[in-house]
Amino acid sequence: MGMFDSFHISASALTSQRLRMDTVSANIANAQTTRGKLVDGEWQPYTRKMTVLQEAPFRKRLDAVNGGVQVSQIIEDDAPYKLAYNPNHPDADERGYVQMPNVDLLKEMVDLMGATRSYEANIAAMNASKAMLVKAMEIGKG
Amino acid sequence: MNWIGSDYQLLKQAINHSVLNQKVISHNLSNIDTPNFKAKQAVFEQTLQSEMRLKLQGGRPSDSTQSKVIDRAGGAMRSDGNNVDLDYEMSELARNQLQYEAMMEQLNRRLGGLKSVIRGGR
Repeated sequence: MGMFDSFHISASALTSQRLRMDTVSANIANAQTTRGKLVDGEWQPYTRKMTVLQEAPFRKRLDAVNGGVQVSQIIEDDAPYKLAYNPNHPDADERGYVQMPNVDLLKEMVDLMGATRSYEANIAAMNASKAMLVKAMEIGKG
Repeated sequence: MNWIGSDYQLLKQAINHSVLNQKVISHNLSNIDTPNFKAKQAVFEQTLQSEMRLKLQGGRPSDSTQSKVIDRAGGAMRSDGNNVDLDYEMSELARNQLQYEAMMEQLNRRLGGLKSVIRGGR
């Protein structure tokens, strides 16, 4: 049982939540991107990305990194692309429709709020751990 | 270790448990958004009570008292299969921190008293 284990646990969550925020930022930034991926010479619009969180197993042992959370993968949302009528757009099809990314700003904002709050909760946990360690350094001083 | 106080071992174990508890709470908080995660809990108090009963009957508290980490029963499960309750974890965090600081205070007073004896009361 390492002294800084609770720091590592909170830090893993901070990393994961920050990656989640980065993903949200990328989604919002690319909400209008019609050229996300080139498939067989045709441009596909940007596809919404999502993070998958996974628990790092909690073991009460001396070895290895114990506990916390990790981002196991970043997956793409398979929701259909939105169609917008814009005949002047260079990526419009013969009927004048443009495929727009499947990014929903509302969903992204909710995700962003969730990530922010989780981040704050883990900061609080880390501060508590820090206060406890400071207290431990005062053993026998009095 | 009798010169430092007979229940020093118990105090040490309680402090160790508090450190483990901090880890468990951090773990629960870090997994607050993980689907299908089940909140964990460190249990020690029950063991502590049986150890103290043993001691009152004249036995020595063993050094091998172990805290266990178990899945916490109950609590409302969310639709993603996660049952971490943020309010509960935050209050546990505060409680554990205060408990830890109280035990540190106790330990320091004990050591301070010992120091005073070594100095001959001067």
